[in-house]
Amino acid sequence: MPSCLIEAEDLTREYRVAENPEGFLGGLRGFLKPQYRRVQALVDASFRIDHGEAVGYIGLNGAGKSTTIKLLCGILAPTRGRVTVAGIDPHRRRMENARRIGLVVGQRTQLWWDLPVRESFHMLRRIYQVPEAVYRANLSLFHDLLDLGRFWNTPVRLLSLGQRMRADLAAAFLHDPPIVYLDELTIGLDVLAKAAIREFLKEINRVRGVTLLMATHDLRDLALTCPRVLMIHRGRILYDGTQEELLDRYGQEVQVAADLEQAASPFAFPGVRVLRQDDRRLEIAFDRRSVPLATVTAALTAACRVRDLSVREADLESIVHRLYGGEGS
Amino acid sequence: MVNYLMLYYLYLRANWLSLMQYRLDFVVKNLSVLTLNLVLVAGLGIIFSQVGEIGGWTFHQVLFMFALGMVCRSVWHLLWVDMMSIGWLVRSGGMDRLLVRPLNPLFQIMAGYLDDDDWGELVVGLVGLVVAGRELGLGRQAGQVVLIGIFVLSGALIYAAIHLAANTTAFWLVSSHSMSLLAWELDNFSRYPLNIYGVGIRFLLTWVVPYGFAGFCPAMAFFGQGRLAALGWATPLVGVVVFALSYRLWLHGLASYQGTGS
Repeated sequence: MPSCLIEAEDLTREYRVAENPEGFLGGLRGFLKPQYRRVQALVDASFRIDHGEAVGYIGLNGAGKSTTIKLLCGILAPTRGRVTVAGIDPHRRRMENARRIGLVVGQRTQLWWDLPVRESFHMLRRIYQVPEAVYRANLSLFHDLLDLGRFWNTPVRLLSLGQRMRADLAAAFLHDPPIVYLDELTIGLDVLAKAAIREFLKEINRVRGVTLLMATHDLRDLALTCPRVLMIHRGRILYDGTQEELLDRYGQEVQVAADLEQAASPFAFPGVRVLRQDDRRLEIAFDRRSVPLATVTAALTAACRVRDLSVREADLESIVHRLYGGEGS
Repeated sequence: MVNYLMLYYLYLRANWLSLMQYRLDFVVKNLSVLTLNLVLVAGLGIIFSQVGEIGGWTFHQVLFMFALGMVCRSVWHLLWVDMMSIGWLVRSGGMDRLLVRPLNPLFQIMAGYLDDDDWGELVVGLVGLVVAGRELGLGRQAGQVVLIGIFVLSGALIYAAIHLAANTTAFWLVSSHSMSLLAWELDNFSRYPLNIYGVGIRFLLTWVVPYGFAGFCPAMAFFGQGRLAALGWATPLVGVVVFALSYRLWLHGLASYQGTGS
């Protein structure tokens, strides 16, 4: 049986946000007597992650993903509740925890900006006191999987975003951490770079058994990498289960948009919701298990003169909407 | 500890290599700072062409403390000026990066940056020390040179302590620019012998924001002047104590750090 690596119980984090009345006088009043509002970024989150798992952590912007990662890294202390990573409290024993984790944040780099990539790795090797043999073995693996050789001697500031992400990824795994947190790391990357990164993560999870927690708002990031998914919305964990089940239960809604040649009478079809209809455009949504896509498009083209059709698969927004609204299955 | 010394060397090396990426920029900046500091010293010369002494101090005595202050300030500035970016680190969330590394966060701030433009002040300060020292007969014995070295390090530590305390306020104020600027500007008083000021400023610069110990007090110790000359010999102790106090404040601030929203 796999052993538990991360255990969170009723984990809650509040921020205190200064909130001042508008305008100059309001600003003055806020200066003299600040008003604070409590914002709950994470509420009563309980979950376990075992050694070797690859878990996707999905939620819209501001859902509480980064806050959770900061709590797990020990950067923030919980307001309430409890969390342990490999048996220790990450905030109280932050330095000890820091040796055992890797963190990659999409928009930030931990590399030395003006120096060739190799210099950052020399530094990190010393900072984490990585033994020579481990260092060599890891670098050779990263060279193979991430093709670091192509920009090994290039200053970080001259790297493309895709190259920089690859270098940052390698840097996070250099000291053989049992767990690596990845926060929105594919933002701004092109399809090829994303694919390379997914391959790397899959491989390192499979070969080295590194546990991964991957926060993202893009479902496609998880498709191949993370069998298990935690979904968070407004600070609360809405779903904890397999990715397959999530998509199966909540991700079957498709949206079809049609550009019309001319105005048509109001469209209606059993099981189909009309989102919007005017003279030129018709937008509908339906569950593809109860109504096949082909049937709907056939009905649509029969009812209206359609110039162009587009189909949109379920995305995070629509899944959140259905989960939150308690719909589905 | 040994590991930290080793890392400090590696950080310095990396910083130096980073500076050398922008060589022309480095040279031009330092030439301007060199000029600025030469003008400051020339100002001193102009004052002394009109008056024989300031507060009972001769030109070379004032030059000695002036230059000692420059060296203290530039050592702090060159090595540790990045503490002035604590406010930025708190506001931008850059502090997070320091907290996920298994190293003391203040060490990372103090080791992580080497200033590119204050070498000119160091050069002018050192030349000033040598010129004034020859005239005053200081620095002929090796012991005196070592002593000056200790005073410089203590003075740099005092600069570090003051700026650390001022910028640590960022943890509570979020923007610490005002405090940082205040600390920076108060430094200007410390260029001249403190006994020319009123009792308020003298007290402020000795016991509250102790710039007086980075230049004035040690110089008094060398010249054996004033009632408080003995205070000058306590400079290293003062340096260690005020830095320890600032470090306590820093730890307190760090504990209340809550990061940014993303």
